[in-house]
Amino acid sequence: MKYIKRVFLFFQWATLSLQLLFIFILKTSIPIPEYFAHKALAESGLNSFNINNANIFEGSKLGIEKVSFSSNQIKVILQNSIISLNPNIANVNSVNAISECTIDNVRICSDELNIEIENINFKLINDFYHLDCELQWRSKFVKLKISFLDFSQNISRSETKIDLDKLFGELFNNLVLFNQYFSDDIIEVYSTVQKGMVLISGTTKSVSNSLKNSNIFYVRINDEENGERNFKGKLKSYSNSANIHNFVIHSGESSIDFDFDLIPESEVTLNEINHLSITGLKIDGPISGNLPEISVNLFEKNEKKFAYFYGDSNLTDFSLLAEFPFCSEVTGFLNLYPSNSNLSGKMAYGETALFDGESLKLSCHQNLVPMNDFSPTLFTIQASSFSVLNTKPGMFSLNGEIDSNMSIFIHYAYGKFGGSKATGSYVQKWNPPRYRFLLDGYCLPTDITPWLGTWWSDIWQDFTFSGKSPSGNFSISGVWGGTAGNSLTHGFVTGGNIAYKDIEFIDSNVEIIVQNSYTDIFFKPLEHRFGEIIGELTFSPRSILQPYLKFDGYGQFPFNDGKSIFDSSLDGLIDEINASVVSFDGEGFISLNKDNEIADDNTTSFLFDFDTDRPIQIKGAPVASVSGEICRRDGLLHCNLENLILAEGSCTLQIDEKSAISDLIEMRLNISDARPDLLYNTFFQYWFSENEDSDGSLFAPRTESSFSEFDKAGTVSINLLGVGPASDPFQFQGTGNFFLDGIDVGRIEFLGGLRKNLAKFNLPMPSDALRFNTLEAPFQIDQGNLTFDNFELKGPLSKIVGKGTFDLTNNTVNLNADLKLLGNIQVPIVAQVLSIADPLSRLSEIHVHGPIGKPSWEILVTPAPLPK
Amino acid sequence: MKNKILFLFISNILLFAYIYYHISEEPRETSLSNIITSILPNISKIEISESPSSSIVLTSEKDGSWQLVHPFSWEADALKLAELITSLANLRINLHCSADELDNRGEKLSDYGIMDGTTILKLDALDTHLSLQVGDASRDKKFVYCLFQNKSMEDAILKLPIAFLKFFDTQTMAWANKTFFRIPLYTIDALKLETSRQDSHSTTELINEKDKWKFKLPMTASVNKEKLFFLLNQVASSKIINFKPELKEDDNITQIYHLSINAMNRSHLYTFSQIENNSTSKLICDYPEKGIKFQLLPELGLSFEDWTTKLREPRLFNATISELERIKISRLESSLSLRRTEENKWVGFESSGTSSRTANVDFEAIRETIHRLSAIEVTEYLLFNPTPAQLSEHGFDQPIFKIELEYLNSTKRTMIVSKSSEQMSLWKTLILEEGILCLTNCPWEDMIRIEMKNYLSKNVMKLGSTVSEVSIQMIDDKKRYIYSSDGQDDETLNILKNIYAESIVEEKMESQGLWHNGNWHAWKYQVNFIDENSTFSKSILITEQVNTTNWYAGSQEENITFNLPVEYIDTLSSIIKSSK
Repeated sequence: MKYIKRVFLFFQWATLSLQLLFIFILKTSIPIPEYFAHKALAESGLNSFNINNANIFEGSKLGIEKVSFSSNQIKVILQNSIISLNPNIANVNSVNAISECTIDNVRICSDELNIEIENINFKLINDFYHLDCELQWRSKFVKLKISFLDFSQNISRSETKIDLDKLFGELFNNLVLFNQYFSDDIIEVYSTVQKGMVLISGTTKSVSNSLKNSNIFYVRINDEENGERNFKGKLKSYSNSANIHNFVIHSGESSIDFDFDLIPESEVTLNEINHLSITGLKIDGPISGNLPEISVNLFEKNEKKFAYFYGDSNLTDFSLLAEFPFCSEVTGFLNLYPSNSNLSGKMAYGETALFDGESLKLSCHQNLVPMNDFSPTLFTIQASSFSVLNTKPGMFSLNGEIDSNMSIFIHYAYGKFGGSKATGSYVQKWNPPRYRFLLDGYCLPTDITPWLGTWWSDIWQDFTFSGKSPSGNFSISGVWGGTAGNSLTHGFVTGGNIAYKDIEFIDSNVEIIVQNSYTDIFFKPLEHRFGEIIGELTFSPRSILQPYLKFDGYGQFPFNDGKSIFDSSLDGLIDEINASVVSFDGEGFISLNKDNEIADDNTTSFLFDFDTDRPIQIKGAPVASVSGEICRRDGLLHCNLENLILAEGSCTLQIDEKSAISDLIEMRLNISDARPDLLYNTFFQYWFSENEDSDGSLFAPRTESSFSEFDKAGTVSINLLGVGPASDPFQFQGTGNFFLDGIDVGRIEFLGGLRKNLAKFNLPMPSDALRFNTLEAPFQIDQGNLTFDNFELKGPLSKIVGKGTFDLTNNTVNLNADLKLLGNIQVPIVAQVLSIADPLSRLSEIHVHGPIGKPSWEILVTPAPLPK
Repeated sequence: MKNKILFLFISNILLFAYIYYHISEEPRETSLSNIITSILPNISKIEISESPSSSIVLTSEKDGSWQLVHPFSWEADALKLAELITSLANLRINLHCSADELDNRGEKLSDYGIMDGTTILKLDALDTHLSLQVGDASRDKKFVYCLFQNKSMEDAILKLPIAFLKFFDTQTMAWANKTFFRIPLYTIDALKLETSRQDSHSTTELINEKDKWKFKLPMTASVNKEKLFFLLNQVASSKIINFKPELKEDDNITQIYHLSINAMNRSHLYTFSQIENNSTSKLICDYPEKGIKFQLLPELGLSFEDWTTKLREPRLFNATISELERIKISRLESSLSLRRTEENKWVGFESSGTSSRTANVDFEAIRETIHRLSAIEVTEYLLFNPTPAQLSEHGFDQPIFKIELEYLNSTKRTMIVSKSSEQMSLWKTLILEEGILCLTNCPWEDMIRIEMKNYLSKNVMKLGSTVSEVSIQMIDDKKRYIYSSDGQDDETLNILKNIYAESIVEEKMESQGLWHNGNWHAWKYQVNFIDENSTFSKSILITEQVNTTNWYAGSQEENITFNLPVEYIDTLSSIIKSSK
């Protein structure tokens, strides 16, 4: 009994000691010399292995403050690692020796990459490992939770040597995908493997993964913001027959982008059905909207691989069989019912329906007689009431072939839509996606504006088409998505009723070339009711800093019809001219940079020679003919009318802009031998008709019939050199001369009539004393005052010498004149004698003052002689 | 001594308790999570039941697939199961309390809606079992209470996300695969569709011979394989809407389709019954292979209608050039016969009623004609085996075109084209040998060329390959040169020297220009071709460019006027534009 007690006591002590020892070990940390740690891992194949502060604690846990190791390309640093060994000693093997491993931070560095993985928890549960970690790489933050990942095979291989580059290489490949497709949102990806089945679910806007040799996988993506999933894709692959990897779903700007390689690896063969069905696809980007369900079956028969595409929805039904990979024939059909589509395209002018209308039917057949060698597929397309990108609905019929590079050749195309009816051809190649349209028929260019964008509509915005569509022939070629302006458009539009702004052309032959975004329009010629125009217009691209228009042409310009094509700054000048047709020859460069007037002034230049042999009207006044030039140099406008027939007199007019920032002009006017009555009318009927006299009454223009034959006699000549603002002629300053010859000036009803007013004074005068037939009046004009410092009115006997001012602003006159009854006798000595002997000459000074229309005449008797 | 022993004993007990507590300390949530995650890899059976009599049982097969075994045997919906397992694997465990704690809380299971008759989800894996019995939703409707039962730990009440409720669905349709036709289409060797109506019975039989599908019954003709696949895919993708449908008294079977399929040496039979009653129509499929009937959407019945028209190959003609011996195209009094010679060349015979001529024709022109014919498809079948009266009604008294194709094997195919008086825009085609009157997609007037000039050789200048220099000069007083290749072997020269006709405009040449389509085109430029030994010099005259596809040229030597090809026009256009 005592023995038993002792044994029991010993047992109690031993148990107590062991338990205390266990607690001691549990609570004590035992450092491990670095030598042993290095030795233990020396055979791992890793270089530069370094381990700091390794210790064992809690009996079965290994703590390491820092571990670093590297291979040729990659360096790995682990911070604060704790490894728990499997306490189930009886059942431990090389695979499950570690029960749990936590690492605060792992940094994997190479020349190109720097990845940080934080809060790693690697745990063994029932012989399966779980991995939780937070991975950060180039601002991408990913939470990963991978359960049931079977590491057994990897670990058994690693017993000999770890190929670090290979191990992480694959990880990097996957991370490249992450970087490419993942948004910056926090991402959680859950993955499970169960009996060869990989299941993925996530709560993110985008997900990516690389899967190999999976039998079935399921992808579910939820939108965190909206709570509900905004996309659900299901992909199935039965058996081992499909090897789909790099499957990417991306719901950012472009919602779905999948890239799968169906070429089997090693032992995997395509001898069983492969089925891929995609439903509920919604795309966003240049084209957005819902796509119909697509099913793809992949199979192999007679040593050929095929992909079979099937769909049956209210948008489309299709059944297409293609040899795989896509380098051989495609057979089958596709029917599209566009009215059920909500697909839209983002165009430069806004978002518009991708297509609309009744139906489009595509048929593909084996091409037994190809036009191009190696084109195994023949196809036809029939469309009725079909519209692409909001064009007018039309009927289309075309056939073509597809070659082994998937290049498309449409040899015959027929389309009838809007006002257009054309046949043509089309070639589409790939790498790069080069295309060429050839269209020929009756074509309204504006019908295809929605296809070609704003650059096309810009060309035609000032054209209108009426009646039968013109004959159009276009070649449009380029590279889709290539550099801006890479396309070349060459077209001809002939016949038809075309109008450019207000000019209607009865026949036209227009050639259009759009190259490098420059648009050239050649008129060769454009026929209108008065003649034809031949020339060229060049529009620069609007994208350049200073867009411009160049023109070069000649012919007959229908001036009245074509006023609208002139720049609005010339409206005031243009509107005053009434000319049915003007012959012209001009060229120029017009800046279209309306935002920068200074630049505009500096760059616009042109030279415009014109000539008209038909009467025209300038501000209502008839001009028998005119020729000259208008040009703009260095930002200044110059107008030189060399041969202007006005009031039957020959006339020259030269106007030069003197400043680019004001409207100061210099004008030289020379009118020779014009008919006074006509010139009078020109000035007072057409040009100053709205002027009021100073007493408020309007100037009374005289009609043609009111002129007596007397008025129509004689000639008038005027020359003027003046400088002033174009907008206000009364502000002009200058000098000139007025010369009237061959007319009895005294009878002119001007200033109330000279003879009539002088007669009122009942001066004792010979009968011819009040006859005057020449007037010479040098004048000066300044601020609306027309000043005559010495005008001479001469007759056979008498002359009047005077001076004074017309105030054109207030329409008043103030003249003083000295009447010399016998003052115009040009006989030497006699003239001096008569001037002394003539008593009236010494007494009479005539003063005319008041409103120009009805001035007051007074005679002043002055004791002193008038100064000469 | 006793105290010593007692002290030691108590100390040992306390230390043991401390150690035990320390080692086994683990949150209950972690245990729950571990139990769920550990059971998932080995799940072999899933049972969803409201009561023993209304349970759904799914079992895992060796190949990883799942089968519905109760209430009937059928393939399970793999995606539904995948979703369940994924959801379980990633379940965020939210332990409300253990069942034992309920008493202390003064609560009962029924307070959480957990009682007899509520749905139980049972998972069996090897020797482990787990069950989740669903209760009520939480007040905030974000969770649902569930009773968790597993032998490894005490029963517990969990709060699961409300979305998990869908896995307690006791409807068979929720767990069964809804498709029934899983025969790979390309493995099908033969197919037979028998349609029975009250007053008629028809049989369509198709056979696959070397991957070419053909009608065996009711006629012999080619089948469009993709159209057949489309119809079969409509069947394959149709979804079962109900298993074991019950028929009502007023249900009336209007049509029965027996579809038998031979594939991979096995025979499959499906019997589809179209059932109508006063208010509804339904389609019931009897699938003896599985011993079950199921209901489908009635629209599927349309897929079995009118196979003889739907599946017929739509192309009028499909043959290689080597199979053809003669092509004859006739229009009113004119005709053109193109015939293969014994030397395997083609000769044309043109007859216009008043004159005729024979000439060698270009093989490429033959190829283009046959290619165009190959693209013609039937868009609508109007009549089969029409009577003469019907033909007359459709305008075949005075047909517009007649195209006869004679094959080397002495067979013949004749297509007669007409326009009906009612709808002048519609071309009607009679395929004489098959007795088919149909509409086609072909604008025949644009597609069929009957003039010999369209078949003449395009190599109009016969320059050979020795041309080394090409120059272009104006035809005016100054004869100014605007291009000279000067012996350079560049791309431009290569295009210019390989001159050929896109089409023959006239088989003559006027010295000043040509009238074409009502317009006068004067010769404007001369293109000179000189060979490398200067032994010959040929030239053509060309007009101004007419448009992007027309630029006329004429050769006095060959006495021909022709239109230049597009690439030639592109090159000339760029040369002449750059010279201005």
